[in-house]
Parts: sequence; structure tokens; C-alpha cells
Amino acid sequence: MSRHRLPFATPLALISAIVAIAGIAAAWGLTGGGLVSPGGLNRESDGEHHGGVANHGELDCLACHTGFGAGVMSDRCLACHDDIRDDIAQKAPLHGKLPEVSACLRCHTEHRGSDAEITQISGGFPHEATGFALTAHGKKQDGGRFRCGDCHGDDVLHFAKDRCAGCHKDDPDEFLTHHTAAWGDACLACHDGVDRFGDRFDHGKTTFALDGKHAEARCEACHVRVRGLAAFALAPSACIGCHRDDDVHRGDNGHDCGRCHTTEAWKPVRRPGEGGAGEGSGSSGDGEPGDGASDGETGDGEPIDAMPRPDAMPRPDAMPRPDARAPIGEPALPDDHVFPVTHGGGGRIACATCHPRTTRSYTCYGCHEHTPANIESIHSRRNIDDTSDCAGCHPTGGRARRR
Amino acid sequence: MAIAIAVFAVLPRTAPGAAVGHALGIAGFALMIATEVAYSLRKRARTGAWGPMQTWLRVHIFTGIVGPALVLLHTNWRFSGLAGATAIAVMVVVVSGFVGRYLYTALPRTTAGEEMSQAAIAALLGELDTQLSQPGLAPRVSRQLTAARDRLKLRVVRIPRHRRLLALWHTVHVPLGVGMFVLGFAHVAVALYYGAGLR
Repeated sequence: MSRHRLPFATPLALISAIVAIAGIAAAWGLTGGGLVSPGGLNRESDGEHHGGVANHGELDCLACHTGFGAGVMSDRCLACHDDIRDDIAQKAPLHGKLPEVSACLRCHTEHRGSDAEITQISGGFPHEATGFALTAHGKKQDGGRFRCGDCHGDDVLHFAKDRCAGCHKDDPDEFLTHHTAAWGDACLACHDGVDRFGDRFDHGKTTFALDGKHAEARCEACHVRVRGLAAFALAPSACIGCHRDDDVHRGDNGHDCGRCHTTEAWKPVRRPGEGGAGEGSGSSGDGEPGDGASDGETGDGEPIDAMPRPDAMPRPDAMPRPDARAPIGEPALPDDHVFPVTHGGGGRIACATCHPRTTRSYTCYGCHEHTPANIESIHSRRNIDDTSDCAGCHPTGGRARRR
Repeated sequence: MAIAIAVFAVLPRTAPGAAVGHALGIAGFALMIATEVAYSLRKRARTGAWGPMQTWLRVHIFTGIVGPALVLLHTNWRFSGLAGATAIAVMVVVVSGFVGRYLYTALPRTTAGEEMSQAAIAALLGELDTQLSQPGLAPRVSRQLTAARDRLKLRVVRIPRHRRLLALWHTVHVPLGVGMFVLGFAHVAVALYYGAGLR
């Protein structure tokens, strides 16, 4: 009879099973979650409390693990990390810009030890979502592959703008020196990692082909105070837009400059009827004293004063971020200006960005993506009613100092 | 065994919770369960319609080695907590299985794996003696037959002791295996519970 009994049905086998179960229960009771934990939790802290704890090591298993049918872990993450939740809600960098941002485990891990790094980003990170694609940064100048630390140092959340110059210093003809002088050192304000200006850029594909002397012009001669790709398209296309000060006719000959001038040179001058107006390219010439003139209007009949001037271009501080960086030539700061004008890491901010009407007052809404309604919502959750003095709590423009 | 060694050699070390690590653990544990259940059922089958016991034992030993080897890979050489206790229990049962395999084969058996009766042993000894008594036997063959007869006689002398040891081993091995499976199923349940909703 016993020959046909299954082995686990013997008394000893059953006792063994009971002992094993009792052992598990006893060990669980003595160690808590330690019995089933695959490794220690991170115990480092940034000095702030999230969800009532200073670090993950103070959490119970079920603070993060949902078990069966009780949601997903990412919801538990965001329940404590309200700063990340706010970034996502406002689509603010970094997390608010990432696709599938609700899948925390794509980039973060745990149970690697008390001092282990919990951000472990492998290949496939959607870097373009941060505003800078790595399309043009596949390999370094020495042929090696880029690593995160090459541009970010030890902190992937931050980018030091001088990192660009560190690699691009060898560009020919002191290009970077001139480029920085003309456009500033906030590289990311204009470059998104995909644009490939310089020799590869064909201006002829725009509505304004560069020929004649225009082909020798520096970009900033026409694209004045431009920051950001969209602002480049706002450059004036009419001659007077850039050559108003060169108009020796003082407008007497109108603005159909191409009737007498070409882009090759101011002289020789062609008389009307010799051809040239509207010929060749999108460029046209300007007048010269004594040349054929009309009546203070352009060829299209547009008054001179209605034409755009380079200095009438939209100020960078009137553009959305990151175009709000100051051009070179902003006045020196007063000695009592304590707020960092390089706040944000994109170079010096234009005065009018924060002081649109008078320097006796300031606003933060002219630059940041947040709105008064969002700020009110965020601060009310922290029981902060007075949000009128941003710099009072954010003296560096970053995280609020402790009250 | 060759497959297990190849897996050890080729695969990079992988975390138990990663896709490859999980696959190793699942495959190893499934092999162990399949071999134990199937072998136990076959041992207790009333007929030999499912094939000879010797074949089942070979399969049992093969999967009993490969399965734990995969489980060992699954651990990534970390032996802490419930998972570590489970892995150690697996290794203990494997070592116990090697001992059982020695005791099992120490008893004279038929080609089907059944223990030989006294009469069958006596008949086999008689046949060996008959062959040895034949004239003109080559010296090398004579030596081999003599050695086989002497080994069989020694095994016959040791049958009572090996039978007791095998019974004792069986008494220990089966509860060890049951305890190991309890730990294993607990580990699987915990992994499923704490792994749910990981996103």
C-alpha cells in the first residue's frame, strides 16, 4: 500500500514542509522585508523629505510595491516625489519633457545597496526630449563614443555650457571665438543638436538667397539679437531693413533699390531701365546720393518708416525661453544686484526679461514657463499664500531656501 | 550537463530579476518540478507501460543536474534571504541525489532497474562460474570474468547494509526535497507579488 503513496504524502515529508513554512514565517517576522529583499535600499538624502521620509531606506516594502491589482509602482513614486509630479504636470524639464515618463523604472532602480546609484540610464534615453538631440554627437573628435559624463560631468541633470567649448575649441579660424562674441555663450539657446549650420547650411533654401556681397556677410549682421531657430526667420528681407543707415538718399529714391543697385557693390549704378530690379536673387541693393530716386516710398508703395529696422527686431527677452538671453552689450549691473543674472545656466539674462517696465520691480513670469495659476497651485499645497516675492524664497533662482 | 556548462561559459552574468535571469530561474525550476513529479509517478506506476525505470532514472538525474544548474545561474551568485535559502536547499538536495545515485547502483539491479532477487543473483553467479570453468578461455577474458564475479559477490555481501543506507537516504532525501520545493514556491510567490505593478 505504501509503495503507491506519493513521496510528499509521507509523514516525514509533511513535517518537512511544515518546518520549512514555519521557518519562513519566523525569519520573516525577525527580519521584516529583509527576508525577501533582493538588496539594500538607497539611504542617501538630498536633505529634503518626500512622503515623510528622508531616503528610501526608511520605507517599508509596501510603500512602493503594490502587489496584485493595486496600481503600479510609478504612482507610488510620484505620490512622494511631488516635485517630479509637478514637473510632469507642467511639462517642465527634466521629467516633464520625457516620453513615457510615468515608467520610472526605465531609468531608476533600487535594491542595489545603501549608497548605490539609483539612476541607471542605459542606451535608448530619449535625449531629444530634453531639447537637445544627440544626432550630431554620435562620436567624439577622437572617434570614441560619447558618454554621459563627457558633457554632464558627475551630474546628468545638469549641463555646464563650457563643456561645448571644451570640445569645439579646435574649430577652424577661431570660429568659436567669433561665434561666441556674436551670439553669446548660451549654446543651447540656439542649438538643439540637430541643426547643422556653418558650411552645410544652404541659405539658398530659404526665401532669401545670399549672393554678391551678401554671401560675405556675417550672420549677425542681418539676424540681429536672434536667439532660437524661429527668430532667424524674422530677419528683414527688404534692403532698407538692414541698410537704412546706408541710404544716402535719405529715402528720397524710395526703396526699390534694385532698380539701380545690385548685391555685387554699391557701384556701378544702373539707371532705371537697364534691368536689375527684382532680378537675380532675393537680395537687392540700396541707393546712393544722386542716383535715381522716387518719392519716399518703396517700390511697393510702402512708407520708409514702416519698414523693419534691425534694431526693431523682437528683443530676445520678449521671446519665449530659452530665447530670453541677453545679447552682448547689456549695461553693467548695479552693485546691489544680488540675483544671479546667469540664473538658469544659459548666459546672462537681458534686463528687460525680469524688469519689463522699470528696474524698481521685477517679474519671473516673463521668462519661466510657469504661470501665476500654476505657481498659486503649487505653493498652496505647501501652505504658502504669498507668492508675490519669488526672489525672497528663491534667491538663487533655484530651489527655495528653507523658511 | 554539457548544456549547463555551455550556458555557464557563454552567458554573461545577469541579474536574477532581469529577463535572462528570470528565464533561467523559471526553466530550472520547471525542470526540477517536472522530473520530480514524473519520476515519482513512474516509480509508483503499477505497470511498466511508461518505459523502463532505468531510462526514467537517467532522465531524472539529467534534469536533476541541469535544472539546479540553471537555478544556480539564476542566483547570480547571491545567496541572501529567502531566494538564497532556496538556492542552498537546491544544492543540498542535488548533493543528496548524488549520494542516492551511488547507493541505488550499489544494489544489483536488472537492466530494467529493478532490484535483483536472490535467485537471480545466484543464477548470475552460477553463469559466471560456468563461463570461467570453460576450457581454453583467454587469460584477459578470464580476468575480466573473475573480477566481475568478485565484485558481484562483494555487492551481495553488502546488500543488507546498502539496503539500509538506501532506505535511510530515502527517508532524508524526500523531506529535503519537499522542504526545498516549499522554499521554491514561496520564493516564486514572493517574486510574483512584489514584482506585480513594477512600472
